[in-house]
Formats: sequence, structure tokens, C-alpha cells
Amino acid sequence: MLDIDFFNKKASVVAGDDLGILDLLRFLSNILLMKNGGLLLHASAILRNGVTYVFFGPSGSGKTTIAQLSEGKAVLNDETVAIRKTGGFYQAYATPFFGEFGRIDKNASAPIKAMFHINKDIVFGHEKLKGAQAAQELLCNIAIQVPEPVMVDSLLEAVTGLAKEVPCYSLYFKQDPSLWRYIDGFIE
Amino acid sequence: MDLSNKRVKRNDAVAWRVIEAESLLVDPKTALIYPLNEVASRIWESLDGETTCTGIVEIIDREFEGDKKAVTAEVSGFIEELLSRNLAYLV
Repeated sequence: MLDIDFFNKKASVVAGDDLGILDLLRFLSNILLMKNGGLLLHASAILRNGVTYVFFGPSGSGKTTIAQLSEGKAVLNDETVAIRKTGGFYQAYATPFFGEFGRIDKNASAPIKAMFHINKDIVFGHEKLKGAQAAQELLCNIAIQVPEPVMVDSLLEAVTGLAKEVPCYSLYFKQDPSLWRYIDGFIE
Repeated sequence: MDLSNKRVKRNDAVAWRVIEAESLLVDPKTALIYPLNEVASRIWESLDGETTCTGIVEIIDREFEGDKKAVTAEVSGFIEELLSRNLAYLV
């Protein structure tokens, strides 16, 4: 059971033994982000030259692999990334909810340069996603089941804005250090 | 079902947004996501509970290419689908 007092910024939670503290924090973070027009995405985020590259997808799609292929760049997370519009830009934020990579390199945030719906493959490939398709893929990778209809609307607003303002690609990639060279070849 | 003179309205519980002329619908009850192409999106926008289905056929016929018979079948088929999924209802 969850009772949130947004005005006083307090919440009380009654949960069973199967809910870990990280699950709880992730859930609460997501609720707060949604309330503020943001979202928590199943994604890895890499910080490079003052901007972030967000790679999203379900479990097994290669989020941790992307982090491992990003040597020399700051991994903000390899599993869960917070996204919110601040200062007129959609920004990706590091979170403590990392995956197999086991750490975050930097507790930071930065404007998102591009988003990639990732798929492991044996060759590199990409295609630009249209707005509605990008929004749909983003919705499918939100790191929470949305509990209330009013939040569905907030979430839809957030992914719509994101899809309209940030370029989104479907990226097919092989486990090879030339990943970033490939990305640099088509990102403006 | 002959919908010609019927009026149909979008289910207000369904969240939706138009993005670059296409739409995305989310039904909070089922958590299902429905992407709509440009034509379906325009039909969805026209389901205001006031325009008849014949009126919607005319809108689509005017704004998109295609013969009237095919447009009528497409509009009617799509609206029936929406009704069957409780995404819209007869007024």
C-alpha cells in the first residue's frame, strides 16, 4: 500500500517481504518523476562531450554491453535512466539502479543528444524512427507498470515530448569496439 | 453493422496524443498501446460524438486518396474495431 503526500513530500509504504528497498526506491522515483513530467526508462546512458546518448530496450537487448563498449566515456547507468525536461532540454540523469555493469561512472546529468532502441545483431545498422513509433518504443520500456489512469496521461505526454524533440533511432549493433565510430557516422 | 447514421465518441478514459499526424492511444484499463497511422488517426480525431460515420467518410475521402467505396469500408471497419475494444462507444 502506498500513500504519498506530495505537498509535504512524505510517503508511507506498507509492503510484503518480497519488495526490496531498491525496488521501493525505484518505484517512488518513478512516481515522483512522472508527477514532474519525467520518466524512468530501461536504458543505459553514456555521457560524452557534455551530452548523453541513451540506449533503451528490454532485458537482454544489450544495455550493459553498450556500457562495456564505452570505454573512456562516463557510464551514467547500464539499466535504469531518469529522463526529465529541465532548462529547456530533455536531460538524462544517473540513477543508483544499475545492472550487471555494477557501477555508475559519474553521478551527473546532461542534455540528450540522441536515443537508440537497441537490438543485438551480427552487423551494424540503424533507421530513424518516426515520432509515433519512437513514442511507442519508449512507452514499452518504461521501468514501471503505471498504476493510475492520470499517470498514463502524464507518461504519454512525457514520451510524446521526448519523441518530438530528441532524435530516436533503431540501432542494430554487434559487440565490437567500433560501435562509437559507427554511431558518429550518422549522428549529426 | 450499418454505422452510416450513427454517432461515435472516443472513450475519454483512453489517453492519446498526435505525433507528426500519427497517433498513439493507451488504454489504462488494459495497458495496451495502439499506434494509429495518419488515416486512422484522422478518423479517431473525428469521433467527437457529433459527426456521423457518413460525415467521417466524407472527411477521409476529402483529405486522403482512395475510392469512396474503399474509404467507407475502411472507416467502418476501423470504427467497429474501436467499438469492440471499448475504445469508443455509440452515442
